[in-house]
Amino acid sequence: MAFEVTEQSIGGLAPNDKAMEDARELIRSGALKNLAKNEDGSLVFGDCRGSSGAPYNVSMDLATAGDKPTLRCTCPSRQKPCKHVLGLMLVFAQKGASFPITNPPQELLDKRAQQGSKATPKAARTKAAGPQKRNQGALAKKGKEQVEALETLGNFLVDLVNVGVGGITPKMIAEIDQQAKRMVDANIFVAWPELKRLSSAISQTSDEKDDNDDDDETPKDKIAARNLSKETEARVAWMITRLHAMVRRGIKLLDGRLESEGASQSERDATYDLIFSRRWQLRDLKHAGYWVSNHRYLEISHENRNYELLEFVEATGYLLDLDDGSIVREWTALPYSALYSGQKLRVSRRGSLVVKEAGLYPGEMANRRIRWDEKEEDACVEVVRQAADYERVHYHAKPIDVVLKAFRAHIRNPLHQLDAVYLVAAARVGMVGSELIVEDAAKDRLVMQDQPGAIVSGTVALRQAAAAYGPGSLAVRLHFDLVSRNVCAEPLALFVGDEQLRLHA
Amino acid sequence: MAKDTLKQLDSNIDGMFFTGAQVARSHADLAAAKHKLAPIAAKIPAIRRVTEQVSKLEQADGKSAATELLDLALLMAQVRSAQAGPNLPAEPGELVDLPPAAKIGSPLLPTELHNLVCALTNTGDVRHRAVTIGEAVVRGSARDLRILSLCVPALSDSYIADVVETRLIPLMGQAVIPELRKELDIEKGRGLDQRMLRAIVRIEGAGALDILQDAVNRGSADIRSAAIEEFGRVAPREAEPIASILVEKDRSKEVRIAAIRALTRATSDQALAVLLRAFGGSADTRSAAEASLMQSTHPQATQKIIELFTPELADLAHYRIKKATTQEEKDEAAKAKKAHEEKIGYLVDLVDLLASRGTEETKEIVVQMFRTHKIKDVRDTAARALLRMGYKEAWDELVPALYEAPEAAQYQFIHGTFAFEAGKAYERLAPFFTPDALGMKAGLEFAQRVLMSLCNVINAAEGPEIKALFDDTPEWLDLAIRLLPQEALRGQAMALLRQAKPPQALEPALDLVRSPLPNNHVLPLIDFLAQYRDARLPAAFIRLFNMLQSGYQQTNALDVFKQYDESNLGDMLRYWLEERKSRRKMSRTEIEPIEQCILYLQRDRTAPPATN
Repeated sequence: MAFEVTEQSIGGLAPNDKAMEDARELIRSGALKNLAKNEDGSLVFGDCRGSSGAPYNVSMDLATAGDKPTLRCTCPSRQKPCKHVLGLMLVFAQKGASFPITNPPQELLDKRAQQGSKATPKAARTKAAGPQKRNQGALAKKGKEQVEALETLGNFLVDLVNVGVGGITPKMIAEIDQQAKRMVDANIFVAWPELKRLSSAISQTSDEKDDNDDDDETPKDKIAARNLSKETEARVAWMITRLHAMVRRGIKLLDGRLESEGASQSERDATYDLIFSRRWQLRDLKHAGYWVSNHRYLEISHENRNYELLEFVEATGYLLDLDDGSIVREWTALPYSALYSGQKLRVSRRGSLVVKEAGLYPGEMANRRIRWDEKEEDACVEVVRQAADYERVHYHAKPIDVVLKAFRAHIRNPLHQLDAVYLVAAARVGMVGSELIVEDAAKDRLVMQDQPGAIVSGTVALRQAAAAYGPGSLAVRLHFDLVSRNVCAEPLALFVGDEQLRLHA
Repeated sequence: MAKDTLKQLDSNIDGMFFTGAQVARSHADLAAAKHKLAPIAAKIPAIRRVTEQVSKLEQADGKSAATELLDLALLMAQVRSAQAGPNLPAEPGELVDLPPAAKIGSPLLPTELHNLVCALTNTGDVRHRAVTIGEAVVRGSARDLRILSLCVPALSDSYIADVVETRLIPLMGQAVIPELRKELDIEKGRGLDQRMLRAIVRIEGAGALDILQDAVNRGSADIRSAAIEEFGRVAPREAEPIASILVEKDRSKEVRIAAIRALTRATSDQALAVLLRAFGGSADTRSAAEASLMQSTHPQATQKIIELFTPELADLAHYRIKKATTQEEKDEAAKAKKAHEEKIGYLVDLVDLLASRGTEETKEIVVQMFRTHKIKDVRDTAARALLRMGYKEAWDELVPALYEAPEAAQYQFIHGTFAFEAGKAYERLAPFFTPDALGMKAGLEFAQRVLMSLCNVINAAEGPEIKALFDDTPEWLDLAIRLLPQEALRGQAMALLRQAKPPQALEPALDLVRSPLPNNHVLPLIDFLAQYRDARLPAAFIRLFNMLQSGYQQTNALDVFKQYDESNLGDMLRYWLEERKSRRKMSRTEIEPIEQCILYLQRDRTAPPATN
């Protein structure tokens, strides 16, 4: 079905009303230049003045296989379609007939040809294509904005700590929310949820406002929360420290100091990921060497989490690499809106996974993220688990001191999460008083504890499983407790012989 | 030592974020920590950096103190990672091996687990929680390790406590016993503990006698009552002497009643004597004793019950009001009247008890009571008992007593008939559906109540039980078909036929379509007919649809049509709609659901079904 370019159809493609408004503003200001189309009018292109100096190349290809046009713009915006391309479409809808006919740029023709081979599997295209080309001018502009945003955040943190969280005013709480918005605008996607959580932890909605106002739509004033628990205090301190680390390292990374200090490309990529949450394309991962081929994995634990504050759900599968013993995580997330429209999170994997090719995200953290092309049929094949797979699981289980050492290395980086999943070789499971203890062959011990607020008790499940089946290889989540300043262990799954007993919901 | 100092410093820094950097820089603990760390700072660079940073913080002024504090926190975050040790047990001691336990796997898939957890904990958006749990039990997947910790707490949730106690926990078996035994509070136990105790007995059976004995000896009243009842169920012989004592000596009424129930299967003379004495006691214990004596298998039970029927009771007459003038006389009279009423109550229960024994001798006594006793309540009770027993010899005499009885007594009779001997229920109740019986005053209402009760019996039964009921007594279906033309009984008759879907009911149901129907019968008839497949049905549906008056009814009917799913019906509905539109203006809200239904029925059935 051909796409008809009308204001209504353009509005249907726009991500939000503001994008349409901005596009109209671009037209009013005469930002769109050199507009032209090819002979049959199926390829429309031009330039759009941007804020980084160099104009962006915008184009619209109407001769695509789908029922939507292919829209391209060289701007760095994550909003698709961006205001520039929407502007092009709006102008074309109004005055498309008067556009001069010229030969399109070769680059556009190449892209069209490439897209014509849509039937070609994505992975094949990934192999053929090099890394994504980026507009260097736009990148530099984005980097400058990010440095500015981080500096502003750094100054705000100094102000906050100078006054003290205990004396925080409603104005400063509102400022935290403002900072969070600014982080999104500057594409600093990890700082954003951290600031949201910080705001949520130290504030509460004004009660007086609640009493007098029944209108739920009215935003309520936030005031400083009182009588914070010891746990919340520790969490708030940790969040501020982590944000400070993001500011310090982020600026260092962006102004090139990290590189000059001798940080490897992998470290720099990982740091970028941990602060800005780069959206890696598979081909970029491959090109950068973050790639594995022909590995077998076995899911040792699976969990779904719901983040009400951030309005999304995520599914994480912890996969044991049966070849090298590392534990990676397969992660998918969906916003609430996607759930309402019927999309579902990935379910647990009961078989073994044979992964032909996959991207393995950079970093020295404990559970690196793995991702493969879901659309390619043979990228990952799930097969029935064999006895040999379980043998490999037991082979890769580690003594407690090795696991603790690895965890200490993991949390040494303040940008890393304070928890990670490991596989422990448990030689004995028993009780000391009312506590469940796992002991390895060297008599080192771990106390098993449920996460605070956990609905399903993993320790009860482990006690039953270990009593019935005996000890084995135990998947545990190690967690650094900010109050006791100790490492806690939560049981996730127990492997005994050819049996996997899942202990966690 | 240095480790503790670092830990304390780290913890203090959290507090400094709250007090502010200006207070923090002059914090006394900073200097103390620096002083304590100084000896090792000289040897370890990381600690030296910490002490240096502390000094920087102390010397900073203005906003730079905040910067130094942030840097110190960052440094400490890195240092503490190197120091982080595992949580140690709260109490020192030897590792004690776990006691052997039953094997339970983790078969639940994440979605199933999520739903079951939500159902058990009343979180998330799970409706029909008890059904969700019941279905997981039927599938067997509920026997999952991860559910173990939720079973016992779920017993205190009244919405699901029954299904958890009777189905989920027994499925878990021995695995849940330690938790139940640990949580059970024998001495102060209340309703929740009763459930826990019953759950333990359900799993362990006679193996739980130790805990039952303990519960009877030192439990709270609630626990003692649950314990003795369970004791009587799992070990009637061992329970007899204990229950006999409790019936007569326990201070709690609930325990005495439970002990009487525990003696139901008792066979000793002593237990029978206790039951007979309890029957002669207060109204509460009498009711329980009556239920136990009805089922008693003691060879002397019937004879002993007959002996309770004394000549004095046989000759009991109406209370004669004596003239009373003084307050003392009035009190005396009131007391005597109350005692007389109690005697009547006793006699009424005795008649029921005699009838339940079902021997010729007891039947004879009941007939005699029906015919000769001076008190109407006693005669009516005897009449109902005789009808329940299938005593046809005096049908005409007996029926008025039933029709005149209060609604509750009528239901009691009907339910008793089904419970007493389900196989003979039709034989006993069919006479109430003869034209003569239906023509009697209150005959129709009584017949309705019988059909409603039968529907309830069927609704409470599972699939195979329903089939067995209709296989054993196909006469019920014939009766329901015969009753279809009876407007007052049609609703119940259709509800009954819906359960069995007999092919012979289609013709009489189609006949109804051609007759005038009250509005409230149209939708049930559509619903009923939709169970069948017949070429005449689409036309019948349209005819019935035409009779519907409200949009709500039409929407429901359209839902039935969609389920019936025949393109022919779509064509007819289209014709009907066009014809209706030509006659009167229809609103968009009226037309839209009909159009949607037509579109659905007329869809391309050759196309493959849509997949997600």
